[in-house]
Amino acid sequence: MSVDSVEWTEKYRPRTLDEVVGNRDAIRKMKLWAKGWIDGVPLKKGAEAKDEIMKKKALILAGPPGVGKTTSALALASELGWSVIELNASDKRSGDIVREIVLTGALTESFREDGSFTLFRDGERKLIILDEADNLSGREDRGGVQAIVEAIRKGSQPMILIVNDLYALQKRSSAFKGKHSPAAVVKFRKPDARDIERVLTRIVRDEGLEIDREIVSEIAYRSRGDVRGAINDLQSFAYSGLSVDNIADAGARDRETDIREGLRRAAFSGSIRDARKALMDAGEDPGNLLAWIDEVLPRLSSSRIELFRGYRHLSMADIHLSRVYRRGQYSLWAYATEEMAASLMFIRDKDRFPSSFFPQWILKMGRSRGVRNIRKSLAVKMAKYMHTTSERALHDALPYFQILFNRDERFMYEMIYRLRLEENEVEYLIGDSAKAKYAVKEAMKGRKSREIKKESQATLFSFG
Amino acid sequence: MLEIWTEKYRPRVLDEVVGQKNVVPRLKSYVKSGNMPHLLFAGPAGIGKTTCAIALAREFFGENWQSNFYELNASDERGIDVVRVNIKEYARTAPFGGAPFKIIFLDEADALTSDAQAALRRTMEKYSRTCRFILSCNYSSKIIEPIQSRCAVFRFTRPGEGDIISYLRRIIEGEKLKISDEAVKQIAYVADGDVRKAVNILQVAASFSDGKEITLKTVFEATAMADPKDVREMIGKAMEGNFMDARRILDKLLIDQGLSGEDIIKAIHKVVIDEAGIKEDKKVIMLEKIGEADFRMVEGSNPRIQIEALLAAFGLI
Repeated sequence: MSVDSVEWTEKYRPRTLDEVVGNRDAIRKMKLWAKGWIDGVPLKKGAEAKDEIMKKKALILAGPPGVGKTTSALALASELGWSVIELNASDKRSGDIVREIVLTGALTESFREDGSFTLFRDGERKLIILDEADNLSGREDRGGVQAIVEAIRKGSQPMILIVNDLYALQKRSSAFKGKHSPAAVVKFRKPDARDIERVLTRIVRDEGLEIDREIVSEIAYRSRGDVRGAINDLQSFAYSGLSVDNIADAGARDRETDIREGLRRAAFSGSIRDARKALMDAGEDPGNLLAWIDEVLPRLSSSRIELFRGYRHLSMADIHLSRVYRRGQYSLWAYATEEMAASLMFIRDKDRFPSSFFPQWILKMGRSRGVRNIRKSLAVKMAKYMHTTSERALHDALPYFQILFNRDERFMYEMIYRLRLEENEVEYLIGDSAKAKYAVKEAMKGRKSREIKKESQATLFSFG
Repeated sequence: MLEIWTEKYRPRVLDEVVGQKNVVPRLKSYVKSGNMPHLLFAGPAGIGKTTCAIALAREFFGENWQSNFYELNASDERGIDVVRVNIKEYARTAPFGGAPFKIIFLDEADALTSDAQAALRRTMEKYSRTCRFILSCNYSSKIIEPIQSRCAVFRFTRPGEGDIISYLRRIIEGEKLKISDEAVKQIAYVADGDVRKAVNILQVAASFSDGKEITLKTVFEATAMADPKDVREMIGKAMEGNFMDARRILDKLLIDQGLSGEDIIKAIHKVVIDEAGIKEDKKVIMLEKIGEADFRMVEGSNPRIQIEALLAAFGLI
């Protein structure tokens, strides 16, 4: 394995918005906002635009760490050929620069005319990215936020604020609340583990590495939506060649501790309100939280009735979540969290809370991925042959197919040939890799000698 | 034995289709008139919807039927892109060899999202000159109204035991099998209206008999082997209050055997109904819980959680 010293998070940082992982809706909004600037809408008073967002001078990108906020801001600038001033709000000097911008009116056209400030050429856009805008330094916070608001109002350049905690920012300045806010809010969510897996797989390929697919998906899953974290984990895995458990421990331990702690606090809280807060503070996607509670619930319950009650709530939480995801009814999210909280709250024997645990289901799924993929490819081939869906082939036909396959050698050879089965599929069916290898070879070469009528082949492969 | 019998003996003409007396004559009248509207085939799996669609195409188009018949499975190729790209691409070209139209057969159309169905509706309208759609679904209620109203709806019903037996007889003759009458009856009984299942059981039973007569015992053996295993044990563990063991079996079913939540609920349902060891008053409560879990699974996203909740409820019975 050859590994260079460049940080992969930089090397593989998306250069265009379309390369950004997940968050399609956020990206769409950003493009719309940029379109407003290209048309000059935010600088014209009372200008019409087909979308409110196009009138805003600034954007607030809000979301958890590592999901692509800064990356998207940079990609936007590079796509449009805008140059970038990156400031970090937690850095005292940045605050000064912001203030200076306001005081001197550095971002207005008039300032440029005296010749002393040539940062901006005519018509050129410079994107000001203010990172960690919810984390302003010093005690004069209030003034700091006010300076930003002023900078947006008076400035003539596009500005993007990046925050983890939108409410912290809005608490400091009510100017960012409501429709008169000078900045539109764009929320970033954690991308799916599958999306992250795709990114990691591409890196593995581009780096010419040989890393097991299961390990890649394990890293993707354990990253919990943190793309940056996942890429870092992958790189340290490639460097060290450690087992994935070591890597995952290093990368994900903190997050997992947070989740366990959140569940523990929820179980110990005296009110549904506190329990809900504890779960929300765990900072985990509710769908994943469900898997964690599912893991620990049977261990916590000291009686059948407790277990029954716990699962009654968890089952309702699941239903709310599915409505959130399927129908986009995000208002139901609160009920889902409350039902989850309720499932933990009524546990009487708190001492049973285990110090360490991880959802076994997720590990089992990870380990069985290879087999499931084989079943899937087998089902697709059978479905085509039997004019049905792969789902039905898998559940209705495969059990019978497998019996026939094992009982009748001629049937086995014939099916290997007709369905073009591969070694791993045959191995799955007969449970013997050496025999599978032999059978596939024989089936493909020895077919003619087995005297099979031509006619029957013709009818079988003719469906689109 | 060189083929799967469900394919080898799939009826080639409409007259060979068993047990769909309300459907077949109407379809034949379309063939006679040389034209047909869009069709919606509704009914459970394994009773002849796909067979009728293919047979219809054969009778309309004769030898060249395959060039004017496009089969696709909505649940495998979900989503609006399938409608926008695949279906449209096929629909817009002229029928082959002077046929009056082409047939697009969309299996499990109820798996399409409502957006995709809306797109499908527009495609159906736009290309209705060159193209007829046959949509198949388990429940017609899951097909959006505007599509239903554009289709002639056919409700496929489960064939009776007599119909299934006469179909099995055809295969028995073709394969020159020896089989006892009670064995044939038992297969038809177990299949419960699912023709595909009946044929699969017959073929497995035949493979067990090694050329000798297929007996009742052979059929029992064949059905036991293909039944989802462990479901009975899982229910037993749950009722003992041994939730963790029950859950381990559940995981085995879901992961190792790759069963869907729906399949497992069906199997649980069957075991509870048939199980002599559970008192009737308890059965009633269990069935109520199973029904609720089944309904929630249709609504919910995570079959494992819903079945776990059911197993926890069994612990109180």
